[in-house]
Amino acid sequence: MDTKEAKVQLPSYLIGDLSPKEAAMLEGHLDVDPQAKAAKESLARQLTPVINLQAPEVSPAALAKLFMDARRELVKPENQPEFNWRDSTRFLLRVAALVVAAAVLGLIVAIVIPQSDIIGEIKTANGDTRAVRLSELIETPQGVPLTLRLKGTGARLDLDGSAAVMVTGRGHDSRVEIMRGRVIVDAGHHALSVVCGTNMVIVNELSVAAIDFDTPFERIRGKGAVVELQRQTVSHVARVAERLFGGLIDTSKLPTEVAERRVSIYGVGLRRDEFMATFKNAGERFGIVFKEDGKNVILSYNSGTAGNNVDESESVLKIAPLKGGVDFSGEKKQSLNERRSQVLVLAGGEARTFADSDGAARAQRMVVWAGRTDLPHFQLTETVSNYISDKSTGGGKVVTLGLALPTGTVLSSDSMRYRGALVHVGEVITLDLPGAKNGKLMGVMSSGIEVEGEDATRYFVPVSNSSTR
Amino acid sequence: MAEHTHEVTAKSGTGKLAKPKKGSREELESLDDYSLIKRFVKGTVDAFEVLVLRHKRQVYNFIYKMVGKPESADDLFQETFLRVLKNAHTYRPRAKFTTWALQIARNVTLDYFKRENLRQHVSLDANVPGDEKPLRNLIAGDEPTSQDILLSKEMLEEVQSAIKRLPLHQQEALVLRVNEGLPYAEISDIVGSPEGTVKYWVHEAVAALTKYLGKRGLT
Repeated sequence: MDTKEAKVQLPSYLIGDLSPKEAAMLEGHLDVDPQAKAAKESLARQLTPVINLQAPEVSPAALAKLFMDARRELVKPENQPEFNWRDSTRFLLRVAALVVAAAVLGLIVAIVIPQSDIIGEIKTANGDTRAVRLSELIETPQGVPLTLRLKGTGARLDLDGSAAVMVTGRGHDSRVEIMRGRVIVDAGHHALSVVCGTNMVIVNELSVAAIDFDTPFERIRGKGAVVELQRQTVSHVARVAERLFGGLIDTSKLPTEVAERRVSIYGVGLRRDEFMATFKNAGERFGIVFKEDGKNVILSYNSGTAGNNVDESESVLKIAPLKGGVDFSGEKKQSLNERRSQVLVLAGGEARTFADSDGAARAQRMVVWAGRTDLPHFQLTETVSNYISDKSTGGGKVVTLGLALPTGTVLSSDSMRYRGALVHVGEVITLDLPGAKNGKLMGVMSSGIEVEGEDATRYFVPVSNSSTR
Repeated sequence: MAEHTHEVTAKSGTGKLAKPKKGSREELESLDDYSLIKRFVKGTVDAFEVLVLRHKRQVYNFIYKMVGKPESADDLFQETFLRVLKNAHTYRPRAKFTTWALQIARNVTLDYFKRENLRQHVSLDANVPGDEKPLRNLIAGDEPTSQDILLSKEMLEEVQSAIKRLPLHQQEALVLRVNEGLPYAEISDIVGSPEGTVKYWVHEAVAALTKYLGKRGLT
């Protein structure tokens, strides 16, 4: 091998195209040919950045959107294709024989036991439908509501995102188990039994009830691509944050009972600062103070900043009749009626019934949380506080108004129905409230709405007519 | 293709190994690609997620190195795996999943270039304009090691830009061989051209790049 031959082989050598024997021969030559060796060093300088070109990671938001779209796709009935396992003729004949045998058996079974295990159908928010089977676990992804209709009874269940139900029994013997989440149950023309944990709720015929079973649940996808932390303790959420984003979150200074308070965090593609901001908002109502220390965070407790009504239960069940009545069977049977705007809250083993304005406020918030602007049941008659954010100073002021959002205002997660018109986030909205005329609707939460005007961003927060919220 | 289960060395009274629960994340992660496809075709979304997370790096690397922009790469990545999902019933296990997925990624990228009319090929042989910064200026020291050259962000951007100026077939072949380290047989399946042709393209690409980088002062 001479210098010229060695130089010709150098590109193949550097990108790994030479066989081990060829590479060894070349290396041996390079040891004794300084000119060829210099050419190799020069070429390596040129090729190394090419060979080692890096790419960033796919963004968590892109992953989260992909998984969300995948869930929607897999729900579609036309995307349940036949999977061809093999092509061979013998196999196909065998399959054909099995199909015939199964059909004959099915016919016999159908004659003897004339019932199907299909008990209803699911319809997603964008109109896709598929059949639902007996005892099938139906889970809604975060932010994706579904409607479930049961055969034979006319019952309809509207599930909010991050909910889970299962239906057992058929027809008039149907029984719905709500494993978690917010569900609006329309019983149809027959009373419907609903089980939440160890409690039974009977939604009477021709009645509608909003049921919110807030129970611990956790689902984390990827490295925070999808986060569903429902009623998890503060200490557990801190450990989850450490695992997802690194750093330390010191909870040792929190009293045990405070560290055991429960918070819920939901999000898609959350960055660390977004997760921690949500965590902080949730923790501050318990009097928890967050102090950043580089990448670490120290949590401490300030009893002076803790709220009054602190829910310490592992699970909370809320039931509000929106039309007609429901019977609740816990330790004792209680009947609730929409005409009295009653709401039952079961927390810490204690069932409390609220009525009149308290009940109305709680019932309305439950439907708001259900996030559906097409449901007819909601009426908001609360007064509002107008919180004005001062863009120049970063501060703000609260002005409490004696005005009310009118009856029929419905708040959802991405829109609101105001005076009969549906307005989505990002669109112009004309509110009859100071500073809100021709503003842009920036956000809709169960706690209120955000409107961006020319001079400031305003938050309109419903204020309950009662003394406790 | 037979499924295999993952044996977990959990302690139990009988000393038997405990298997992960069917449908659990642990169980899904122990399945091969074909088994995961079978599962999500039947509606197990978690199986799709496990498959995506397993192969996201390789697929995204290829797409990003072809288009050079993270936002576009994110969109094309999503489109690629949605096509994987929708066409899963056509997948045959005689081909590696990565080969199939990269074929789809390649098609998605080609469609993107056609849609955006982005492939305005400017030859690397074109004269280097006088105002282009010599690459040597991006390197510290007189005789930098290869590692020093690697670490310069500006240098990497220049190299990425140079790769994008290659003819498309050379760029694909170069990325798959030199960056992803795939064997020529697999690249041949992905791009649909004979192995010998692909090898020729890679060497043409390397020759063009080294000549261009040499002209820009990187020697």
